[in-house]
Amino acid sequence: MTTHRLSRRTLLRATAVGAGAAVLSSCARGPGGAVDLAYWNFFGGSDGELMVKLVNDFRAEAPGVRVTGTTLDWGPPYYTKLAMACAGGRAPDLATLHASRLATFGRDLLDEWDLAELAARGVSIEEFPQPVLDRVLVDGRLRALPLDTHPLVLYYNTDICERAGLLAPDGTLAPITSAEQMLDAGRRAAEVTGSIGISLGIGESSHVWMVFWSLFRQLGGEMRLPDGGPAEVDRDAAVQAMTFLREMCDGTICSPTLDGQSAPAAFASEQAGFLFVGPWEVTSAREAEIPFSMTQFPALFGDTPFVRADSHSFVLPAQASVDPAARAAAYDMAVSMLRNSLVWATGGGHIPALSAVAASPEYRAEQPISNYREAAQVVEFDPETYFSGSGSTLMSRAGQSLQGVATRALTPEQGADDLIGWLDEQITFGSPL
Amino acid sequence: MTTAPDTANPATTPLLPRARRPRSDDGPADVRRYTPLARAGIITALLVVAVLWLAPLIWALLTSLKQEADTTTVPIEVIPDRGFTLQAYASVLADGNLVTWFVNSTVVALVVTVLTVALSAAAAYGFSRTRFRGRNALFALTIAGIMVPPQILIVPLYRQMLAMGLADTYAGIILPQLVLPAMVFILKKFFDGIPHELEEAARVDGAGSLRIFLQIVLPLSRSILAAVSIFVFIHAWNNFLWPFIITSDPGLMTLPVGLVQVQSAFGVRYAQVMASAILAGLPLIVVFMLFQRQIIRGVATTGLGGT
Amino acid sequence: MTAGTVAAPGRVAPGTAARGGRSLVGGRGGIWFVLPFLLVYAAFVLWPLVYGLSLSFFDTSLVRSESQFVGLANYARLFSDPEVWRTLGVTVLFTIGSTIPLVAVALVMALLVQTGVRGQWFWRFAYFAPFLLPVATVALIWQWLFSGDYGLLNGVLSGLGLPAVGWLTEPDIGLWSVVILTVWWTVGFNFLLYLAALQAIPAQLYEAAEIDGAGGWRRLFSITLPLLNRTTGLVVVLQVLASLKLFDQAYILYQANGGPGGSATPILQYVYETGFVDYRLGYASAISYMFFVLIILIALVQARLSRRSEL
Repeated sequence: MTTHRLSRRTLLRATAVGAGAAVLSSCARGPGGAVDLAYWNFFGGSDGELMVKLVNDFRAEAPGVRVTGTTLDWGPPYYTKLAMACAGGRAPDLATLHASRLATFGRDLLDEWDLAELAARGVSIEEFPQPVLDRVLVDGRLRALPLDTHPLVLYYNTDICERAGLLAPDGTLAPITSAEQMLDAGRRAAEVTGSIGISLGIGESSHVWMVFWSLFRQLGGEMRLPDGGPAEVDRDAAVQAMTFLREMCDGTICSPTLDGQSAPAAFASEQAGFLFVGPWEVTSAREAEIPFSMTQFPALFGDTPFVRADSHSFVLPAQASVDPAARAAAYDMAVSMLRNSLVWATGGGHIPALSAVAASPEYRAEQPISNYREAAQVVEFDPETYFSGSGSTLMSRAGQSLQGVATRALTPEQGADDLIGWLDEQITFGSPL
Repeated sequence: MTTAPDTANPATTPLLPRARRPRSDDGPADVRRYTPLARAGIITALLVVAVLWLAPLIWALLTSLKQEADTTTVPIEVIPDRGFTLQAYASVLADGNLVTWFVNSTVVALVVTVLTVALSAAAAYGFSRTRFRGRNALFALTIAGIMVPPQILIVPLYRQMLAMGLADTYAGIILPQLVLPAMVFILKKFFDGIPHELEEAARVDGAGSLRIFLQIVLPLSRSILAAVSIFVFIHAWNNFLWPFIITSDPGLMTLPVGLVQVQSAFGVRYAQVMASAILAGLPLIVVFMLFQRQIIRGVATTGLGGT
Repeated sequence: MTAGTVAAPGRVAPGTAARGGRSLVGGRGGIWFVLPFLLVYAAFVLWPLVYGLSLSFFDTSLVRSESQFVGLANYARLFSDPEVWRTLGVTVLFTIGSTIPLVAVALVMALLVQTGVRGQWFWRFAYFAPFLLPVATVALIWQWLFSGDYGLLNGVLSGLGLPAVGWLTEPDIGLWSVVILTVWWTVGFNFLLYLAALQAIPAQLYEAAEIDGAGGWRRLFSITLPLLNRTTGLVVVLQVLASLKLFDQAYILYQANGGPGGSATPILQYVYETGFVDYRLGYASAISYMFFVLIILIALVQARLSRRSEL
């Protein structure tokens, strides 16, 4: 209420000062005293296994740190718990965050990374790709330390594409430079598979949103969501991107009934020649032992292949009392994971954020995942507002509009108006941040 | 939050087995009244329902005993060729979290039970056997609390706990669970029925209210106290929403909350998921097997007045 | 909530029981017995109740310390928020769809067990044990049973030559899967209440009927069921109020995503999402209060209905 001028946060900070002093005075850790470090993440499946490996690598490097790794359920549960933990002052020492979700955490819930501390550990922000840096630097403060970039990528079955005459002489996919060409390639692949040409999980909001946002940005679409409204959205670009989705989901080129699990499965079982999804499905394609490759998602509209991406990054959640030793260990651990991210990249398909790793010969030699490394330079993050980003309300609500269009329940015009209307409603209500 | 009826109804105490029940718990009706055909029909129906109700548990148990690879066969295999293994149990127990949550759940449920029963019994005694100004008004206020579903209080309670610095603490989990006005009502009803002669005799001997409460009323109320304790314990052990809201530190979560929130870094492994689910459910099931009669009576006694 | 309305004949209405001359012994210092409970009650029920009401007039946020008085804006928004009404509709549908089987199946179970067939311990165990499981266990088990590809239910269906059902993926089925889970989980509770009521029916009634030559079915319809009317009324009232508070099992079964197309998002989940996912604690309070008022209204209507049916 308005009278609570002495806010909870102020109180927390006051307590923090007291507690911090207590820690400093009482907690002179001897050489044998271990530091406890709580680390939260949301990685399951193959990414989960890779993350466990990164954590174990750090454990081996820093035997004096006792790391408690916690994997919470991905999506809203994770971000809600993290925000509540920050608001309650008992957040973990280090957490994983999608860079697109920074806005969700406002100004108070995360501490910034101290560039000097990073420099002391040999990391400088010049080492990160500019578009990613633009997202994680807020008012010149580094809010999140990027581990990777994971853009929408194009998977293709080399065998099917060869039979459909879609390969260049060198055996890679012949360049696709327009929407018509993509649809045509899909049609020809469908003739070969006898099923569909392109696999896309229409039922999975994050998948269909990735494609929509890439196309919308390629079309020059802008989406500005100022607090208080109204939403400034390029309706024409939205309609055009949705029209493409609708044309693609004609049941032959792509089926509108695929979801997050069946779409990669259709590609893995060679029911489709192409797959539109993030790079992490490289694991399932590899396990299926099909002939496939991956490439940067092409420019279907315009000249620049803008592509929707996000970045797994590390953040320092605000705590009521920061233990300096744990904070230092959090820096050590984050930097260690960045340095060791080659395994993260080669195993999970993510583009390493640290240039030292991205430029390493080991990464560059890794096929097919280094094919799309240039995508890091043209990545487009989700619109910047508190309810946007990976696993956000915006993503799931936009997914509904897009599914409506793909299944022909809505026309592209209706779909665009549905989405814009909802956005308007959200921002006129005012931000809770 | 469960969908079992959970609003109190004071008027239901007449249903209590204690009140008037000529027969024992077992063999309530006379089976000989039925023709052999009817008996066969009844037994068949009982068996069908029992199979339907036990099948999910048995399937969960079988899954938890399989090797991970045997859980996802098409068509499904009831008994895998490779036989059964305790591997899934070993894995989830080795993880450590489950043990922590088990301890948390036990501590929370025991403390909630002891404190709730103590607070409720004292209040019920006060309302039933003593006189003070405003007693009836305060009792009415207490009974009115039965109408407040705890679910609608989560937002203000959360804010309150943050302000009190109790988020992510045992106290924060426990305190809001201590108020079950329906239990006060049930206990008061029981105390009302205790003959006054004993108390009068004690008073003549100079015993104060506290001594009468502790040495006369409570010992006479063992059965109802047991019933209330059983109900409160089940309620606290299985409570989800509030512990879910107030804990974000995995080290403080209770079993139901941790099980839902924290996943294995290795993705969904059905045998392990079922093993943790079964370990979380096992304690109360075992207790039920041992003390079926008491638990059934406890639940039936308090059920219609529970929260 | 229904106090007094369904009181047994000859019972004293609550609050008046111990009043007056009976308690000649009325001990002193009674307030000290009552005070500890009342303090906890005031701190963790009454105060949040008032505080929550006041929050509903502010734009309070989970993550921001300042907040503005917004008058009735939260309530105004609530009435034009389609999601409020949609999730309320889901809740009401669930309440109707779950109450009927939860009462009917419980009654059948109790009647069957009450016949006295051997194995009483086993029947009671089988029917009541699921009620003792934590909701997380129940939801995880059913997630597995409902699973599209490897689940037991679809496995049995395909064994019978029937097509697979998208228990957790089809918008038209999503909520009914929650109903199935809930009936399995909590029916044992109503079963016990019915069993207690059946045991309270005096055996003499049956003996007299038998002398008159009444068969099993006649005894059922002319003695047992009429005598269970009041119990059924109570069980229905309590079940409706309990089902309206759906959250846990739906939230866990669908891992917070609200079910296929949002078809299994109850209003309490919308309150949770509004308050804790979207940070709008003030607005969430307003929705909570609207729902609270609705619950009370439903309770009053039910009380009136059951009173009328008893006359």
